[in-house]
Amino acid sequence: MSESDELYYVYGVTYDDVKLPEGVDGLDDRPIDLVRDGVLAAVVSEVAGGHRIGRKAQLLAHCRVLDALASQAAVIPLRFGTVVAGRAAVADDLLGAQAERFKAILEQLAGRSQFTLRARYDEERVLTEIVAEDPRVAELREQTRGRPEDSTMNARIQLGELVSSALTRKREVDTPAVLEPIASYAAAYSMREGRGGVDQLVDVAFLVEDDKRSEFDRAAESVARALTGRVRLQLMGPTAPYDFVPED
Amino acid sequence: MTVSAVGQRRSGGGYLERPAPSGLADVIDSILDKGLVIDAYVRVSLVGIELLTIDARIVIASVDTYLRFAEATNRLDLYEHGGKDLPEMIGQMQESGGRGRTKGILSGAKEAILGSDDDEDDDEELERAERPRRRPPSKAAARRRRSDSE
Repeated sequence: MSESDELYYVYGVTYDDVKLPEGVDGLDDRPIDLVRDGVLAAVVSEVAGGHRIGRKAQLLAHCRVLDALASQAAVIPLRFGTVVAGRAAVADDLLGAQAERFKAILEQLAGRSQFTLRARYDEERVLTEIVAEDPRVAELREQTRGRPEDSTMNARIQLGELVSSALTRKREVDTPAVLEPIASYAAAYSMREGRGGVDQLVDVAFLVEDDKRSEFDRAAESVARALTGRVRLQLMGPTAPYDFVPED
Repeated sequence: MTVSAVGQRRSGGGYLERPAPSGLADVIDSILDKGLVIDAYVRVSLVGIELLTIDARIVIASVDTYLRFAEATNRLDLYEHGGKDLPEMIGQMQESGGRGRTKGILSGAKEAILGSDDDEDDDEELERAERPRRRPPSKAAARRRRSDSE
């Protein structure tokens, strides 16, 4: 590596015969390009020296490039923020050094896409259930409602703990109801850590074979129908398989 | 996926919502800790994002969560009875003020990671893409910290 090496933002690793999607720019509107080594290729764009990485628009660009690529070829997404100095380093140190590993992962991902399912409770409905089911919750609610936060802090924390553990129990019951009918149409699934809001039920990423997509879709639709009114289901995809690359 | 396919689903009155992945901030944000991590000696800098993401999780798992749940439960009154007398309304407004404060901590941590689209200010939390010679020394520390908290 020399001081004159250009910096390259690396989106992911794919096969060398991939056709770059047209009209899809990379971070900071830089054109995307391929760096090849053997049958592998890294999808890259140049980074201006000293340019900052970590803005929302850049994360969106990262996903846009990977999702566009994933719609036409197997691609291994790299962690957002991966920068390598010089085309030679991308070819030799990144691709060449781990070619067998990358090929094995790409074979696993070929013909499959990620769909991400987000299940959210209707907040009003689930909280009403909890108040009705636990008299202690109802009582603590009476004690704290409309009172100053400072003087009722302990009761508030206690109320919140009860509601939190009641929500945890509900999630334990409801998660399989969401997951099981859909998961049988997926090659793999991976639970996601949600933000833990009151309405949080479950976030899960599915890896779906291309020829199972319509069955998968129908299964998700029928779960959404069965739970309607109490749980909202959102399905996003197909996207690049962000949740299905090996952990380091 | 074609536009007409989406159109058909909509007209079919589907129960499943199908937002664009980029339309949901938390779905995009969750990409931050996904994807293959390449060897440290190859990469120039992997912005300070891993660390910040974990910081946000620590905040989530605090007492603030319980207070948020308590406040949400108290807000149920509005749903149950519709109209409220004035003192209770004020109580609830104060509560949602508290909720806003809690949210502020969370989204504040997120914003430190990503900034906002139009945020061109210098943000000290974010590292710059640096030449290998000036590679930040903190990677090993970041890694240790990460494995500690998982």
